[in-house]
Amino acid sequence: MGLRHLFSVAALIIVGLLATGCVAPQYTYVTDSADSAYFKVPPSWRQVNQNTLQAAEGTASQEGAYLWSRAYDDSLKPSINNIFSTAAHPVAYASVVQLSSANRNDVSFNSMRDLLLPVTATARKAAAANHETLSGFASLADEVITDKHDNRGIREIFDYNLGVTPETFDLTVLTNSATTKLYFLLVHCSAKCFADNYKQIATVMGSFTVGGGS
Amino acid sequence: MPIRSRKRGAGEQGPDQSRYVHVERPKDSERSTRKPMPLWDRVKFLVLLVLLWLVLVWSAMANDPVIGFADAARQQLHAALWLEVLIGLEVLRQLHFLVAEHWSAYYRLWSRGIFGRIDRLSHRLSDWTRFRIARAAKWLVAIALLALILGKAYHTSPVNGLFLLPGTIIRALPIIIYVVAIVSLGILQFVAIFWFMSKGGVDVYYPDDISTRFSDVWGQDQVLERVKENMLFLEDPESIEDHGGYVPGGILLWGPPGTGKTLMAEAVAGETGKPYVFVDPGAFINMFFGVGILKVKSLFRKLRKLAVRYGGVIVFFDEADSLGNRGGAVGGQAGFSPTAQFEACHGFGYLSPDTQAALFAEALRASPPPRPPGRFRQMIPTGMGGGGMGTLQALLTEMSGLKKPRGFFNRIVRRTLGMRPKPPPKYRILIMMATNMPSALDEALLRPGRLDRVYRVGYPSKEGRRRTYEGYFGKVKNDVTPEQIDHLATITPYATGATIKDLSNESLIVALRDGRDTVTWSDVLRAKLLKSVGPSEGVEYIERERHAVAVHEACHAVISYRVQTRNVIDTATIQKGADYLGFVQPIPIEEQFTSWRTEYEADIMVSLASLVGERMFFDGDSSSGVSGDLQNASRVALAMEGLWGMGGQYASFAITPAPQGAHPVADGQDRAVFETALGKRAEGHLAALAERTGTLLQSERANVLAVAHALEVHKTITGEDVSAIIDGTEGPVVDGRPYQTAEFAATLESYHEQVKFAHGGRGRRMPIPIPVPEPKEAEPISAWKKQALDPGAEP
Repeated sequence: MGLRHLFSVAALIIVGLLATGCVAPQYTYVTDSADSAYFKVPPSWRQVNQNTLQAAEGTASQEGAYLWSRAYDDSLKPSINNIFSTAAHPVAYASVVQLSSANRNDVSFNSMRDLLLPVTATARKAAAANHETLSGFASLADEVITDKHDNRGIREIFDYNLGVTPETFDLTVLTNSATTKLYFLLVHCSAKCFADNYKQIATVMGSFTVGGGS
Repeated sequence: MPIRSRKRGAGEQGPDQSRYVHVERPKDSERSTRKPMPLWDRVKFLVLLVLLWLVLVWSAMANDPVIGFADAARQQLHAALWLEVLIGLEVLRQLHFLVAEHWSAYYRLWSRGIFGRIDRLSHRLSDWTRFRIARAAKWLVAIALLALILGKAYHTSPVNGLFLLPGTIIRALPIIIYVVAIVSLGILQFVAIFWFMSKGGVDVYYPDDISTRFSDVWGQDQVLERVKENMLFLEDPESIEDHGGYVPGGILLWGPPGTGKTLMAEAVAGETGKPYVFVDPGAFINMFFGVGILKVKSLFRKLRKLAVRYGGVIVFFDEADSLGNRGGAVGGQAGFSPTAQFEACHGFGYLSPDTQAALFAEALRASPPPRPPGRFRQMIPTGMGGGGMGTLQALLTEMSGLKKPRGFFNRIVRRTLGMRPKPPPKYRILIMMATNMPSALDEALLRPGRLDRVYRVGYPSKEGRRRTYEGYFGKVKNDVTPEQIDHLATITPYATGATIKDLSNESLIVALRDGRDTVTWSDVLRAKLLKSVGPSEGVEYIERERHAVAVHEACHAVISYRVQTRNVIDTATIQKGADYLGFVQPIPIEEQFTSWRTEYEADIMVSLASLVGERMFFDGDSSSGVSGDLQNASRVALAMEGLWGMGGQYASFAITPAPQGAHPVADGQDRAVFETALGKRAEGHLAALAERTGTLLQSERANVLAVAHALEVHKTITGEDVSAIIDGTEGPVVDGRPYQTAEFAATLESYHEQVKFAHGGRGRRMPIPIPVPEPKEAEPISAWKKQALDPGAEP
């Protein structure tokens, strides 16, 4: 083989490496291999400090113990406050909950809808009766999901007034076929932000996968 | 080294020159640039690394269903930085090679400047030091790699990972033990099988276990003396070791079957004060590869133990040919080299070494000369029998490996402590082997140091036979006189210890059958007859055939009696056997090791007597029963002419090639041999001898008819009876006195005429009674004699 050929092979390899190497991945892939939960977020979304997140959510929710949680924030300074309050930039919060045997029978699409905020009319009435200051509810989308791994669940997009401006929430809740685990992914930000970033948010929500992987 | 050739145009050189010219490849030291590398060598590591990266990408995609190929590839480029470093290094290396291939100054800088300098520096260290440094470096690299892997596996630092490893191993110990136990179970089955199979076939006898003594071995005195000598050395090794010698370690006893080899070994066992190990001939024939080797090893372990404990041990391999050989001719050992086949007074000893070598090679190809008829024929050796599969090699190693230091403690522990391994104690092991096929033994087995002494245990001498007979007859009640024993030894020239033992036992059986417990001479003769002839087939000839057969055998007997000086007739019979109608069996009077022309001529005359006699007595007619006689006569006549210088030529036909096992001059392939001058001279010789035989038979006509009559009456008579008939005395079976009267001779002549008349086809159905001689002061032939000589007849 002549010099020319070798140089071309070497150049090809180097260019190939640069082409793939200099371009960072288009998304950040979030993986919970143990519970087979996956989703992706744009690389500009940064992970919220895991310890802060765990401290904020506690060890267990009403439904059961947290197995895994992650939170991402599109702001320059990711904060747990953005997750559990209003957010000017999109934030994502995902978790896997181990359903206690008592709670398994109580899991329903409605209970899934009301997982984080009261969405169904019954739940909203109950919240009003409890004098909770939640207003401005508007349901934007409601969908029942059944996927190829026999997971079932809902996707809800709704508005609430948490502060002065309306906040849009996009929530997907799933349970596995044995109803032993509850998976959810919530993305929210102000209604304007949501509208502006809808395409990106839709990609994040669409990537949420339960099951599969090795 | 591959040869490069360059094709040249036809115009470059003449048409008779090669079209290909070899182009010399320069040596590495002569090159100015680096040797170009094949493409595959350039890219193989890159391809490998890229493949590795693809595997990582695939793994990432398999772990995350959300990720696509492009993002997985990008992710792995960030995650597996080490891979990129390696690829970069490999690219650099290849660039370096490429530049060196094209830029001589650069190549020189590296090959002579940098690497040459490193080489020179490193070679200041000794080879051993460099080896140790390299070994240490390899260990360090291996440990570092292990640490890296463990650090990854434990999600901790590499050094910490190394320290965590023992804990993991201890936790995994139950599983490790479990796995080892399962594996051991599998292995143990084989160990157990092999252990069991490697036992057996070896028996140990301690002093006084065996009652056989040297005094029980008769007729092999000279071999016995040598064996005793070996035993003396074994019992008192200092007697030879103090003088700078060593105890001969091995004896091979070889010889025909039944000559007392095993008995001698048994006697050694009985006489010695050392343990005696008997190795069964079948011990090394095994189903599985390696069992024979294990057996040999365990045998020698046992031998060494016994030798150390008792100061010596004797091991005896019976039928040593079962150990087999690895192909290859046996030679060089005095005693059974092919030259010993030649019945010459000096062998090859008086010839120059070159001539000896040439004759030796010829002797291997040529067949041996005709041997005296007898029961014992030359044994044909078979190679590659028995043991095989490394058993023989193991035996050879053990036999010559007795002086190496042994044992784990001795070799390893003592050396570790800085002590020199102890030399082994002097294992005094006397190895005895016995075989009747020495040529089937491996050459390496017979070299001095393994089997130092090779003794032939041949047929016992007459004196030995006499002592053997005395020994065996001494064990039974008998009234056989020493003279009769001596005669018995004479008339049984090839008797061995086994046949003598058998004969004495058969004699006792004959006596016991008659209700007596004392063996008499007649019992011995009856037993001998039974052994040599076997029981008759009980076939009755028709009268004229019986007479013809009797005349045939009588002609042999009378001519033998008249012309053979070295033989006496043992038995003459017309009892039909499996492959003969009758026979006259001569036996040598004394042991004689050369044969003379007159003796061969006498042999031919005895052979020809049947044909000449039949023609004489039956008016020129003759039977096919003479075929065997003519074969013998022709063979001897040809050999006399062509081999032994007893005819009209000096040259020997033994030097002409002949098929293996064929007679050199008359091999059955060359029918034209009788058309040659040699064959015609042999024929002329035969004719002259036939004429002499005819003349003799004419003068002995009455005696022939007399012996024929005795044969017709008694079926089987002894040689002494033949003498008695011819001399007119009383024999053991036949009273010969009536035969010498003129009246009875006339009666016999008339009887013969009647039979001849019937033979000619006239009066076939007419019964012809055998004439009966008038007994002279008759001690009638006793009933037992008749019974002995004709077992089919009623007493």
